[in-house]
Amino acid sequence: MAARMQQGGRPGGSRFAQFKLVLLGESAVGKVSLVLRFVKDQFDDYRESTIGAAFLTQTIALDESTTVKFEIWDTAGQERYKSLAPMYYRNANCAVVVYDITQASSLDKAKAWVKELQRQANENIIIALAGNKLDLVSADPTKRAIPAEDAAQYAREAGLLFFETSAKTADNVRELFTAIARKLPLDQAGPRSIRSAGHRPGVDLRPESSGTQGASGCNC
Amino acid sequence: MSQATRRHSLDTPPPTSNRRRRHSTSIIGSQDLPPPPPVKDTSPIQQHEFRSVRSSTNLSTYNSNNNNNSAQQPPVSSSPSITPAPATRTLPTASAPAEKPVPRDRYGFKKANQHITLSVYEAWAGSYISYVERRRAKWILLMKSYGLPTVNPERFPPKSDKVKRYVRKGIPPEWRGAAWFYFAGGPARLAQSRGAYWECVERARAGELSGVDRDDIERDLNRAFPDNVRFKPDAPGWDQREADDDGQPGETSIVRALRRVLQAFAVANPRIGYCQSLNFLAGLLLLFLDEDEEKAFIMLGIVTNEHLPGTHDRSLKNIDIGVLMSCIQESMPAVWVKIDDTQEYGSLPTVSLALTSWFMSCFVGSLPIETVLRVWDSFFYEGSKTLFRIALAIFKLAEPDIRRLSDPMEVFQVVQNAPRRLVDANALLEACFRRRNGFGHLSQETIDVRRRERARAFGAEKASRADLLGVGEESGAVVRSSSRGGGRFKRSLSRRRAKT
Repeated sequence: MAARMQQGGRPGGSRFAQFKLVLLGESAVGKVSLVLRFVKDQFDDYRESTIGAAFLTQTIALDESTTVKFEIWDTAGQERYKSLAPMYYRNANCAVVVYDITQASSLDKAKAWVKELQRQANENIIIALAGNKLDLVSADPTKRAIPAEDAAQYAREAGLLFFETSAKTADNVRELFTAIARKLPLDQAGPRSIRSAGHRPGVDLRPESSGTQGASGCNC
Repeated sequence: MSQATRRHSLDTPPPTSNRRRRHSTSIIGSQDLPPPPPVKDTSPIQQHEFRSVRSSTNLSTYNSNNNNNSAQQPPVSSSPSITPAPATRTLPTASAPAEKPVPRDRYGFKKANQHITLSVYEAWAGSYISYVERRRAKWILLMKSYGLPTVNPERFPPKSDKVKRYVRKGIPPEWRGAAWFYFAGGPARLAQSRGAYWECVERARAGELSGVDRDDIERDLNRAFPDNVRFKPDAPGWDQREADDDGQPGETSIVRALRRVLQAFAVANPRIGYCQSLNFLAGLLLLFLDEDEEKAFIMLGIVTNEHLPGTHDRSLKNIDIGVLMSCIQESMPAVWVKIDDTQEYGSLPTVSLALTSWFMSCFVGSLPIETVLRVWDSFFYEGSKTLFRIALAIFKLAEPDIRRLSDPMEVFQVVQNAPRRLVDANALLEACFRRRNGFGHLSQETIDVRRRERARAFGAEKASRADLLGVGEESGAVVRSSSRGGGRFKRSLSRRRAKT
């Protein structure tokens, strides 16, 4: 089924894969801003607080023949919404856990999210750690509360992708999502048609949904 | 800079009497039609017209396109002391060329946003302005027939079918805040608990506010209405304070008022503390109550305790969404089929995630602002059933789109995005209250019965957890407040004392 769609829809053997991505992290670290930079290339210094969750999609071309569509769940950061979290990350293929490099406590919260994801979410979930608000530190180095090396060290130990990002200047935003896409198992990604048959967002990992080759599957 | 300093000195201290006087005197009577001569539209003074939502009579007052106002900029000293003299938003300076002013509505909100283009907005606003004028004329007659004043009214006609109908068709914008307060039962609450607000402000300042709530509030102050000029001025220098005991640098007076209201509310309501979405509720209340913090505080108590009990609690239960789902299941089975994934995922369908803000924020951010205001008119008059009826009407309007789709995520996006484009408030209200296929028949009693059922079901589901007894929540509060030494006993005591 997968092969049919890809070959039929995109001549020349191009591939199309779709993944569910969830954004987690403490309130006001810039989750919405990262997504809006990625999806709409927009930025505002102030954004309305997110209540519940927002859903967006963005498609990127990994290379000439590979297109990846992200279904992005952007979630509320406040602690009391945590009970809803399993709803967000069920069946998620990848997660971006965001912290604010100028707020020390936000990395602790990020670590807690990583732990929860590793324990509760999909076994093969790809997790990226994003230290956001790099622009603030570039403007004034004294604002940095979390040394990049500390976070990088933690990310290595926990097996995470790691980027310091700025939604404001767009630094590393595209790189972040592209790195995730490259690490995802493209050969297992099912097309939309399978999910539409009654399955939930994200990739269908059942055996029959495989069928394409992952040329750039994992080269991070 | 001297302007800023001077402004600062004009209205720095928070004493309530000053604050209130300032705002009440800034109100311009607007029963006279048509709106005040447009001289103001070319004067820099008009830039603080929207300080009071009562100060203008049409929806496009804050659509200033003047770029030649530098010559008309009055000296600071000539500004009335009741309204701080702003540095002109559009004042061109030698160093920075003037930006084109953002078109804003009469309340100071940007007309265009991610979901509504300026041309869509203007196409709707053109006829809506005259609609508002017609309704205002009818309201004036109504008020006069009850011998009530039509300038800054504080009392309104007693509830009746006629008044309910008038409210559903929209309260005149300049009376809106006062009417909300009146119809929601604010005056009686105020009489009971006068001064309680300032007591709570003091208690928050004295350390009774938990560190978590304090931090959460700080993060959300600038994230309430960044598209409203009174929360976030277009250019620095307009109504912005320097740092002092009362707040951060660069804040406007309404942001500082918002901080105090949210802090006081968290202290007075330990079951809730600070919950994201309260920033929207309190912010909009302050905007329409002329920054009368005590009234906004009382209204926030009415919304969270009377109309939406439990909705904002520290442990979210989503009772209201469950009730709404049961209503959809009954009244729109074809929609329910599309959104129901509860077989797979348990008690609530995934689409619930798009509905959280409908109840918690009472549609702020989910509907365009004028539509929100119209919903709130009815909400404060009729109670929480309005929120359910409107929610159902939104689904009804989206039903053709939803039925056409098969992909659950596309359905989710329709539910998420369709309301944001409902700029035509009348269309939504009509869909809600029309006789055939409307939702005016859904009674408060039905909703309350279902809420109790859901609460019981939730309790049974979570019986193993201490939530049911409130232990979990209270102990959560203790953990949160421990750094401040608040303590559970003290907090629950104070809650009883200061409950509004």
